[in-house]
Amino acid sequence: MILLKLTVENFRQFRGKQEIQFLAPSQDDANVTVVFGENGRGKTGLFRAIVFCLFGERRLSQDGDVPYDELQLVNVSALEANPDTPVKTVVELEFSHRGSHYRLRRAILGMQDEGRIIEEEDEIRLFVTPSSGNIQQIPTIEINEVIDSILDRRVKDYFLFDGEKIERLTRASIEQRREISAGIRNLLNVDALETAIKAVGRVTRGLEKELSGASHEELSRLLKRLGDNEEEQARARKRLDELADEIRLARQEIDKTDKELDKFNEIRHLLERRKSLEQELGELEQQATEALSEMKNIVCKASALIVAPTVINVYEHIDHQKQKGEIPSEIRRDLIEKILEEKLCICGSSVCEGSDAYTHIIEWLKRTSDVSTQDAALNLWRYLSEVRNHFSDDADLVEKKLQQYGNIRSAIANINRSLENVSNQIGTSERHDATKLDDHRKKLQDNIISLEANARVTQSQLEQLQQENDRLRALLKEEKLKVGRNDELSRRSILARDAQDALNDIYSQFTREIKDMISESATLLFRELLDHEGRENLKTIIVNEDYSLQVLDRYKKPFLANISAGQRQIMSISFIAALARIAAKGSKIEIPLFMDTPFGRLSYEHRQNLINQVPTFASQWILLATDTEFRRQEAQLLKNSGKWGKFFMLRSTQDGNTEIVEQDISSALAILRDEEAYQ
Amino acid sequence: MKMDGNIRVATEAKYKELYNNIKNNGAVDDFHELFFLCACIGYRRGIQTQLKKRDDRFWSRTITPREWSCFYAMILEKNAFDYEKVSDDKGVLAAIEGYANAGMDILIDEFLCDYLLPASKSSDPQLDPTCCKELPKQFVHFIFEQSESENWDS
Repeated sequence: MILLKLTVENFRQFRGKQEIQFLAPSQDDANVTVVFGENGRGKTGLFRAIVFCLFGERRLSQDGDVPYDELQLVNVSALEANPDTPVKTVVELEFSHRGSHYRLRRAILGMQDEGRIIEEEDEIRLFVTPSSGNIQQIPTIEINEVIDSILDRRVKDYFLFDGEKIERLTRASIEQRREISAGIRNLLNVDALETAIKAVGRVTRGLEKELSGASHEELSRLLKRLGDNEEEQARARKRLDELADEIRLARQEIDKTDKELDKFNEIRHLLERRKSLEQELGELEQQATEALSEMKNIVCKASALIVAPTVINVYEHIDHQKQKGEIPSEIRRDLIEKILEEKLCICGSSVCEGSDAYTHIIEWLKRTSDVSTQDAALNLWRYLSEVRNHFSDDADLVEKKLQQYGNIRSAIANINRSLENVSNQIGTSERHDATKLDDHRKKLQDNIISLEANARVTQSQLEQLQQENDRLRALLKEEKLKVGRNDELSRRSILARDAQDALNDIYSQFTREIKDMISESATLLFRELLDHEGRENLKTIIVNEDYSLQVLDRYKKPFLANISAGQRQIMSISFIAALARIAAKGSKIEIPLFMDTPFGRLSYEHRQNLINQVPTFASQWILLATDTEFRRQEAQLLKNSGKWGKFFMLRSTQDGNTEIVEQDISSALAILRDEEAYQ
Repeated sequence: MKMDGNIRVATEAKYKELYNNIKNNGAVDDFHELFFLCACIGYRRGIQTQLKKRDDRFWSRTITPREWSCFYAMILEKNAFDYEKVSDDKGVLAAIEGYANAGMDILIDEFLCDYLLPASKSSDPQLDPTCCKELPKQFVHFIFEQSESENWDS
């Protein structure tokens, strides 16, 4: 299939009738058409026009779950110019395929009804002109079939793709594996084989059901177990499909959210900075609260520091009394009182009132206190000793806590200043919207992780069921042979099972071989497209048994997790090209590569390699590019390759529509800006 | 010096709300802590103010041994180490109430006045709840200032 001409009339941004004549590869070996335009000018609109014209589909894979009625195709300003008159929106695509010329025309009628835009299908026509020259109109009912035979709608996303999203092929998810396996199956036309396997399967099940009703107990039991196993497998597969759908929907929602977040791209780094500052602030506020709570607990300890001199003084006084033997007193007060009362000393001599001895004893009495007071004084001495011993630690603690709190407050003040600064750079409402979107995105991401975990568990259950199925089938075959060697039903059942197994083997062997061929071809292309450093590190692309893609490093170790988004994009393009090359049985890809903004994530060397290599393996390359990815440097490279033949600019008109303007290559080089202009 | 737990400890009636406010704003856990702080301040400044209108605030059983020992130390020092003066816990607390009352006056004059509702200053002082967030820190800071001249290692 080679695209020749696209005509759009009142289609989205394109008011009136406008056209693009693509460069067909027959002309001077050049096969590259560049459509250049800033974001919002309608590059994806052209992509949409082709998909709409070929397949009648309004939705592109990147539209996510945007409601169908929001995907309007009719040009709004044409409608508004004559509100009471329906506007006809037409897309016409001319292309050639295997020597025949095709002109496909699809139209809708758009009209306004109470402020709403209603679009109705109007016409679809396909004219084919074979090499013999007789124009033939294909009946409407057959058009889809004819188009599908040229480019199967199930694989269109491989050839008409959004450059930045294509790297998703390399993400090791169940969804990606399903996409790759479907891509391989569809492109290699193994549908017939799959249908045969399904048909033989149905026959086998029917025969075995009949057999289980009529035969021996063990055989019946095995057939029942096999039936249960197959039902369980079917349930597991269904669950896997459901999970893959849920993951796909979540990813679409993420894409949609990303698109909305793109509006905030200019302030995104500020939003991230703000978020991180807010998080830091929250942690510090928490620390401050904890520090305040700790301080409350030391108020009591700290209070004692105020009377520390008193505590020390009293402690030292009692301690001194202790050392002097006054507390506890050497002679107990009750003994002295007894001596004075009996006037008799413990040595037996009498103590007369007024004698020196009597006076001494009276002095002792004055110095001694009662037992309870002495005990209490000793207790006080112990308590004060403890309080005194802690003064130094308590004072340190107080100082430390105040210092710590001061540091936290000062950090909070710094963060608040930074936050104020960042907030001034961000508008408040934008920040709020973007934060909500970011949170929504995070939830979706978490959901995907959980769905993928579920899918892995289900996949592993399915594998176990398959192993059990193999075992049961072997047992069943033995049993059938044992009990019904001469039984016609048994023989037919065995034959059907054998046929099904043989078809499965053929299918597995074929896909295995194809996978090997794709791996080999993709590796060759990958190494041509990679930059020098990538070529040193990345050696082989392989399509795994489970249809996941992997890249091996120079030590033959899996390395996919470590490669960049740009390298993933290159890897995906290599895979797609290899797929198409295998489908075309080694010749050039017979399908146009229609790439929407493919250079965004690529380094200059990767862009250089892509520009040099893609035109050599693709029959036709249509490149939709923005001003930031297709600069004078890239244009010069493309020009030097000798493959670039056409250049179209999408230019904004005064009424907000887009005008398609063709320019020659020299003018293009003059219009495009240098890299420096973007720095 | 029995650390009697069955005594009602009183403060000046007009400080009832302030005691409640300070406790509720998280500067102290319980009344006895604030009472202790006030007593320490009053004693350190050597001021004892008799209560004009007594208002029972808490039971003495909430006073910790550490606080009791400081109270005894204050009374002993003040009374030339006359153990008789500390033999009666009720008497000890009565004297300490005077120091705590004076201490609260000082606390208000030198620190809490910035945190009081203006209208309450002339009668029953009350904290302004809008500016109490850092009260525990302000208390510790005030205490630290009152004691920072000391050299604890001597």
